[in-house]
Amino acid sequence: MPVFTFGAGVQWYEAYEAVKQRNRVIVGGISARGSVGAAGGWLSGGGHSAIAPNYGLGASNSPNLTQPYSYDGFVGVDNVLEITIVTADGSHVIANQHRNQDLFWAVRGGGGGTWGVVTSVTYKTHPSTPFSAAFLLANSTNANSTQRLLAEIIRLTPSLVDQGYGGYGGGDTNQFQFLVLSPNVTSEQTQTTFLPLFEFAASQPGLSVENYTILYQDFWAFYEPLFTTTDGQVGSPSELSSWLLPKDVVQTDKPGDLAAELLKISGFGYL
Amino acid sequence: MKNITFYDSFSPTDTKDSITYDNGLFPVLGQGRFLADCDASLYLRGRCAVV
Repeated sequence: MPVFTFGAGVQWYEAYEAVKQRNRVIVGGISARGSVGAAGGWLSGGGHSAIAPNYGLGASNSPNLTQPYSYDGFVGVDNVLEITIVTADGSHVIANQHRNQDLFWAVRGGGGGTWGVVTSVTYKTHPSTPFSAAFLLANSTNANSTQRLLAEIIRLTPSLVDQGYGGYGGGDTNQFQFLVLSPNVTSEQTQTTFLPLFEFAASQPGLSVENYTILYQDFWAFYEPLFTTTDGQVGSPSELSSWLLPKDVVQTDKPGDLAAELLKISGFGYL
Repeated sequence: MKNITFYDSFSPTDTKDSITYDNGLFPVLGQGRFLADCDASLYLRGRCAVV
């Protein structure tokens, strides 16, 4: 399997560009022109990605590296094959499924620089494919409408994940937006899937809605216009924390209650 | 330079040699190969910045 090794300091936009040149795709992080390293905190924080529903988390601790990703059990592809790390005693060691297995397990989600200074990471890559995407932005003057829209999205989420959609979204009662993409569906299927949601959003009082679907030829075509900048911006002024919600929490018969709770979180995000 | 390396195939094993460096030092700023192309400079965001 083709792989990339990234040394410490490589930013994800640099990694994505290199991977694109090999006509591959890789599970990685997102930020505006840097600030998220390909061999560092993103990995030790667990490694969320918009394409994780298809390829697994960046740092998924899978007990079986040969099994395809399964949403039901988060038993998935381990996209990290090997790391090199300087430990607290000054040793520079290799960790993989054969050597320093405990360290290899701990770094993939163990948080921050707890286990040492990661100096390189070797990741799996996957064949490049088009991604079909859907975008929705709702400006709201009606908090109840925002909650109903979010509840409908929550209700649809298990089905969307099963179709390979992943992405980014969030907001508050005044504004909510999301962008999701999948490599497993056609643009026609995306339009069919999301048209009812778009119509539902437009029907809610107090919501001003923008929406579209789009087919990206590859992951870079999605990433480059949205997350690379030329104005010198690096990252954004925010702090993030995250929680993986099990399917049985999202697949609730009371999505409105979950939506209400999420909207209590200031600037909540939805991946 | 930032290290981005592509391999057509890769199999992590337990037989790989340990990590060593030509000068015997871990390559932190000012000591090793990270500054090989940035003499008297600081390597920042893909280019050498004079400090």
